[in-house]
Amino acid sequence: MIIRLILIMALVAILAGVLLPSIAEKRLDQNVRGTLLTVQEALQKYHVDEELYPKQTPMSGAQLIVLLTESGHLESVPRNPWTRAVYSPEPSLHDRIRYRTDELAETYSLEALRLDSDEIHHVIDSTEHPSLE
Amino acid sequence: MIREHHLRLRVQGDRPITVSEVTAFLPGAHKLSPDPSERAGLFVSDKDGAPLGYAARTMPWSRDITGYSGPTDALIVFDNDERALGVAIRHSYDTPSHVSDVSGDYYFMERWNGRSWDEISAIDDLNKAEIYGVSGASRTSEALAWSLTERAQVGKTDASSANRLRVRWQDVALLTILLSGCVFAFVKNPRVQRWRLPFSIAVFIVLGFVLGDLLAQSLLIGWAQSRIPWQQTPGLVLFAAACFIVPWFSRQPVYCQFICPHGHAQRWLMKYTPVRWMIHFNADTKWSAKTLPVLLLALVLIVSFVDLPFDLAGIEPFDAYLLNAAGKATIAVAIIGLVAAIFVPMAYCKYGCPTGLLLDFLRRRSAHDKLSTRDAVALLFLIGAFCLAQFHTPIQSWLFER
Repeated sequence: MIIRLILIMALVAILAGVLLPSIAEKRLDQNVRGTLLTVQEALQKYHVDEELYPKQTPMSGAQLIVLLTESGHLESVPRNPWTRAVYSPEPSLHDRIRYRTDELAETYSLEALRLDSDEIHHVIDSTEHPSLE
Repeated sequence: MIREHHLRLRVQGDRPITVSEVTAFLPGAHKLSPDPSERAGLFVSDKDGAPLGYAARTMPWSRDITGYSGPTDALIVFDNDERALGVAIRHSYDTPSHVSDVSGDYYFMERWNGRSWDEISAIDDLNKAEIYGVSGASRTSEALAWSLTERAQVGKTDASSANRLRVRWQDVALLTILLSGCVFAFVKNPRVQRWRLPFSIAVFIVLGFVLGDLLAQSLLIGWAQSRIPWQQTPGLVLFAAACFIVPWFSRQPVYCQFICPHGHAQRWLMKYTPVRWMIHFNADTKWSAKTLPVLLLALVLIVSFVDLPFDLAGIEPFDAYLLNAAGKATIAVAIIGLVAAIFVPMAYCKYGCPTGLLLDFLRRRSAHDKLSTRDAVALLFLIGAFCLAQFHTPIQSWLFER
């Protein structure tokens, strides 16, 4: 009976080990999306007050978050989804968020790149139209 | 339960087209405005408001067009002359390795460029339109093609071509294999049985390497999540249905014993391997090893209900026969299964195959009216599925949120 138990526990451990990377991937995905949505909300508030989006382009996630915090549009500094540390103004290789605006600062795009490449993981922009679903 | 759960997840995860996606085809794109006409796409304009083109996504119109295991949402962008500039896959519920093969096949993806909206909507035969399926991912690529034609037909009054019943040579081949398998299962006449080896070799080659339509968890879960594609692949649907129903009625393991190419491969290994190489498991090891397919079925249930980014094709070896479409995990499972079969007869079938376990459950329990351990495990699965669906939100929060 003990042998059976040990063998089954080993199998469960192996299968859990197979599942863990996909749980970690989804967790990162949710965190990145959450951070982008928080920043997007602050950008909309900024636009309501200033009638344009932040002009400096391109900006890293940290630079944008500092700007939005200092302007009072971001109430609490979000955590960096890749490191789980609170965003700080210092440049970091783990800051994979990029902000871009056009020359009139009327539109923006917020991109989250993958940690190990320049492939875009998520993108949110100032597209204004209701869902077609 | 699985279908309802995934419909809810899909609606929550709707993905409207963004300007950034369109700029890949129209670099000056600045604004998207909804088209109020029945076409229901988006007008693309530059920063001065000048029209640049038109963009449309295939979802939700293509949600019923299933490739191998699910539908695909694609973006198609047109210029001002209504000529397609390009197609991109936005998101797909199909098997990830097949989707990646299609998106990486520039020949297929660029076959749409230069065609007008009306030309695309008029396609009713892909071959005539010179759109050929991607080798190893033919069902996925063809479903994408039909999704695009279906989308272009939105607003037109004639019947949709994608939802017409379509019988292709692959469907006929699958049904022929099924009927022949049934003949070998039920007709025990030696004159019939002597053709069994040539039949096994033919099935191994045609079903494994040419069609690639092996019953697998990724296929069954994909159908459960989206829909059963009886219009696009009637042969495969009938084939799958019969493989479940025949053993239930007759207690004959038609698919596992007479059709499955991986089963044939193991049977040949067993036949030609010296007996002295065989390893005999003791009762404890045998009992524990038999729990592996049960645990794999539990994993399938968890992946499906928790909606994890996990390719279920990787837990079974069946995609490995599609040589250029197989993922590393699938190939590894196939090789390990075959190597194990050298030492333990039919090792993968006995101790690794979740789909075989499912078929075997139906076969063994069909004529029993007393509850057994198998029924208790099945009941546990049902309770597990119910709990995962009911408590989806707290489970998601616990697993994934900050």
